[in-house]
Amino acid sequence: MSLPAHLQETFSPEEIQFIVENEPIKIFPRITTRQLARGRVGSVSDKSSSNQWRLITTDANNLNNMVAMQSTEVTLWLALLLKQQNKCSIIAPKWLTIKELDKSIQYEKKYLDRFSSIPWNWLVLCQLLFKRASDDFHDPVHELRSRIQDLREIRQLKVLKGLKHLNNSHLQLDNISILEINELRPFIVGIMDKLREIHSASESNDSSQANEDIDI
Amino acid sequence: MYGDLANKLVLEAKRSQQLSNKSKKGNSLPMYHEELVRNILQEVVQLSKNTEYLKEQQQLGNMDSKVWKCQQFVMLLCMERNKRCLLAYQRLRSQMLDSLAWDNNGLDILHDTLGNTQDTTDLSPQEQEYLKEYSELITELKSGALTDIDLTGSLTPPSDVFIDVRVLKDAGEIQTEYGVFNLIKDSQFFVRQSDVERLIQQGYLQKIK
Repeated sequence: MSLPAHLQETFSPEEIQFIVENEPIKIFPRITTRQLARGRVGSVSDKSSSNQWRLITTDANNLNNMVAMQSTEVTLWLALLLKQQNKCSIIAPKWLTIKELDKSIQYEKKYLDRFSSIPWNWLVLCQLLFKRASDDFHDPVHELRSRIQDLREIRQLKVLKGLKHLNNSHLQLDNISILEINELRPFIVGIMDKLREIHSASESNDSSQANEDIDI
Repeated sequence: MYGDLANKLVLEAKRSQQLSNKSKKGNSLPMYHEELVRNILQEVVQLSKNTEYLKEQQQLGNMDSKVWKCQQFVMLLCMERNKRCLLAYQRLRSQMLDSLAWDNNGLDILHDTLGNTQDTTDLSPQEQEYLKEYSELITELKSGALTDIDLTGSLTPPSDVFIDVRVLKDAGEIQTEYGVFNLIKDSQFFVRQSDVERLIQQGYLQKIK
């Protein structure tokens, strides 16, 4: 088929990253793109403003109004591009600090039957930021890394425990992140499908038998 | 028994499916089992002859109608079984051919339908015909309303705009739509990814992380 088999029922990790890269994130620009009012009145007024860049995928308004060292919000892929060229530094999200992570680890340990509410993209975002913007964190990155690793392991343990309760009708997975869902999807969906098949087959057998009884 | 040959064919299909799954590339289709398929078809012909014969006997009144019904039905089931196995085998192969056509053919150089499938002899004549026509269908789709998008292109989302590539095979001067490269073996380039994606897929270049 046109779509290779390994992509037919789930996302690849690259695609997950692509989805996450469309989220907004705060940055400190190191360049100024805002046109000063004085400059505009000067030589080439309207032309330069209409010649400014326009993005078709995201809102370019913030990009045109960047002032050095004034925080602004852009999409992540743009932030990473700027970061690569050293034109901005990325502000780590609030939950990505040692303090906050410790809190959620505590939560995870306290409530063994639920997941703490960290953002749906935490794993991918951490991986991206640690790799591309490791110098922008206030806390030492290796500590953050180990916290993230801890969180991941705790949550994985819970997932494994939760798999005992697979059934043919439903499953509740609050606060589980997109990457965690994605790696579980083929397994869980496959098993639940089989369970459902067995169940519905036996049910229809029952009903047909009941009908026969009535006939007799 | 009647279904045994078909079973062999299905086992063969399973094997080739696993082969293509494991290698991830799926561009090696095993030989078409012409012998086996022919034998199965012979079996079907035999079965249909039997039913004809039984029908005549029934009309002549030589048979009990109950026995006749049972015989007819079992023959029919055997034929159904054979048909199912043949179709499963053929469907698997056609799927592999489709993915072959999407992966390799129609990349940049649109007109080498035969250069890519080295194992043209492994395909049955009908399959060769099918592959050719399917490739034509793909080309038609691409040249229709959707020309701006390269539908056969890479399915991994773009992450880096510029990449380093190393030349693996000498290819001389190659013209891309965006300019001329002189591809000398073991040289390296820093180029836009979209320019060289085709060459990477064809195996001339290797991406450097």
